[in-house]
Amino acid sequence: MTRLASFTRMKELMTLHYLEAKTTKEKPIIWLTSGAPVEYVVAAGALPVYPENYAAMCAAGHQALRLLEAAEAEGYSPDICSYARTDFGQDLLRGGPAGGLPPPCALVCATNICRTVVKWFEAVARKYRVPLFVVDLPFLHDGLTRDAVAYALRQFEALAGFLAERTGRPFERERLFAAVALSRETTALWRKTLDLCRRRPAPITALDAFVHIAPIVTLRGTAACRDYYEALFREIEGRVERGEAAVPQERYRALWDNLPIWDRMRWLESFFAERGLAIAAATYPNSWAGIDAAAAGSNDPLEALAVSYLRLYIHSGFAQRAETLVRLIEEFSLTGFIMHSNRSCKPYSVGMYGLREEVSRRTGVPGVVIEADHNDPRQFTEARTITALEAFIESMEPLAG
Amino acid sequence: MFAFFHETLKDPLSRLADLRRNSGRPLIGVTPAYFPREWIHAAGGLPVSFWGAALPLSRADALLPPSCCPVSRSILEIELAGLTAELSGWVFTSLCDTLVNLREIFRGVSLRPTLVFPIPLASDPDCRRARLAALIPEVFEKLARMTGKAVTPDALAAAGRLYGDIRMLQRRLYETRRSRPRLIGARDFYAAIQADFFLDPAEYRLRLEALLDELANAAEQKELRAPQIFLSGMIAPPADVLVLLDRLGMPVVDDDFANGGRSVSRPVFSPEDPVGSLVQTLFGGRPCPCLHVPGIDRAAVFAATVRECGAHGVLFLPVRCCEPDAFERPVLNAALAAEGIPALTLEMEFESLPQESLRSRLEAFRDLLEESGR
Repeated sequence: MTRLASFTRMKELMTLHYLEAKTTKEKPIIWLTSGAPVEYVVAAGALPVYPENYAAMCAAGHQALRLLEAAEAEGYSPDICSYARTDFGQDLLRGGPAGGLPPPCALVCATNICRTVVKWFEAVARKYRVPLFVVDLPFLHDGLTRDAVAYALRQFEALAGFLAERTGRPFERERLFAAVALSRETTALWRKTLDLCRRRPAPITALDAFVHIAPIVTLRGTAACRDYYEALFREIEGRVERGEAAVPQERYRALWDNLPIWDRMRWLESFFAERGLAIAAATYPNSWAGIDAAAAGSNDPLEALAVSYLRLYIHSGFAQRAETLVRLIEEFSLTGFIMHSNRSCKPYSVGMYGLREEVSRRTGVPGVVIEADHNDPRQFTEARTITALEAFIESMEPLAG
Repeated sequence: MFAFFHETLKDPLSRLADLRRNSGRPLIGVTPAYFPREWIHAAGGLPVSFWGAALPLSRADALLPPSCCPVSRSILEIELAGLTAELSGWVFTSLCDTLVNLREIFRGVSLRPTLVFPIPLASDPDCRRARLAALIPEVFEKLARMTGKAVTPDALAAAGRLYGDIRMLQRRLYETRRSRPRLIGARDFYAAIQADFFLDPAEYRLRLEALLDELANAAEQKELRAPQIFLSGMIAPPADVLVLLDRLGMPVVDDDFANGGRSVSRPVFSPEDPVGSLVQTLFGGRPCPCLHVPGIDRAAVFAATVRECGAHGVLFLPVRCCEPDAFERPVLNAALAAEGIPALTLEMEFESLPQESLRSRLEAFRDLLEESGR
């Protein structure tokens, strides 16, 4: 990954977070999905813990395989999302970098990233005998609707009541507004940071963005998180000012669509760097890149929050997804795009083949689909991936910088 | 007794033109699962249900990754192959992530309009009800655009009665099988249930009534004491598997298929209490792994259902790559183990099922059940 001083700070932040989660006596632990409105949990004085983030950490540290196998030995089919299987495995073996996650007192999951999380969290709820609150955020087949926003807001209200009951404290709206304000600042900083990659050469790559996503997923709504992204932005802005490139001799610039292949981050980084390919944009990190008040058409911060959780890339119809891809390709001056057909993520992957054709046709840049899995290393075939990516890079040659 | 139902299921797509002509209604394709078919009928349409099919997948593979289930792949193949030219539209629910995206694929490849009825998953019951109250008129309006006919209260009441009758008759068929398990073979039973997907409901109702009358007077085969089994999975298996069960003398007493027991156990929509009855239509009846129903312990309900129907063992027939189903198999297995009920899992494809291996495993399971005295 690009050598960034902020990396050390991020590791500190995440270590402190998991340390607190493992030792706290005061804060109730609530497990969340990455698309859930964490601001409510922060405002309720609970400590959010993300099994998705932990599963990714396990895979990035090459510790996922034995956890996957442990879950499968318990009867969980390899057809199940590998994040969920990794989570079941860490629970069985107390595995991964933090020696397992602390038990939850309640669970909150949102359907804006997938419906799989409902099944996953139902299994956790059964295991720990804790209540599960599902925030159902409707898929936006035809864009945002007033009904969808109203449905989300109504559930947010119910969530506040659920949290008050679970924590035994009254829910304070002032604390909620403070958390939302911090989230808003943080996501805006993250957006600005990602946008720095419009510059040529790109100061970081999307592979860096995947790594630095951890705090915004885990600590949104806190001052520590906002401060971290402030520092990260300044550091990368400095790289832009000094003309420092993430990939020396950047010739090609591509987009990565879908989650990363956590177990292969270093391998992919080397592979791309050796060939002068900078992954300058990605759809996944944008999921936490903006609470857009203007999009909500309202000054109400909670409405803006609801809109931001509804309008995720993978939670939108294909026409909207194609628009997003075309826009990113144009705005980031990309010469191609890589689509990770991810066995474990159907919302991202089902329909990808058709999108590749459409986006290539509309932009004139080539796209490639590679088959793998975000957390299951057994689904990655190195030779097949090399063949596909090399052919893709060759096809970008006429557009190379 | 069952010849008509078998005949209906023999190449049903080739008869869609006749169905449209004879019924005088536009045909609407219904994908899995739980879209209230009575709504389509009330809008002047005729629902035709698609739960997957055994056919070579040459076109769908270009649009769907290998990790998609055979149900979605074969439904897309049917559309891409032009076998559904008689349909005037497609309806979807938001049953799983694959089907949500399949609807988007259909919008790109199909010439026919599509609509989606997103089944709410909110934990909070008031939120669910409010959402459903907002969705009902929206879906009715879209259906009317598809069929050219508005949904009226009278049409809705009539459709509710028609489909309610069918549901009651199907329940009687299920009860008949439970009380006299050797009376109806598995292949015959599911033909009678699945013919519903491709028939005019008025005709299906008549045929089902006649069948139940005949069954009431039919004598149950005096079979050996073969173990009775309960079938579980998202959808009923291909006919090959049912034939095998019949040949091996393993009577099926009940099931919880989404296109079987789960649907049959649900009440139909009633216009008198639209939201309340829709809550029951969607979340009442046997629990489905695709739907989040707070406060319902599916494993406990499942084990109780198996116990009460007198099954000696459970045969899980999961469709390959069906994630919601796969999530719950460990807990269902554990619930059965706690009751001392043996279970076997056989993963299903529509095509190239290894017959010999299936037979061997089923025979071994039957022997196990016999030896264990069940």
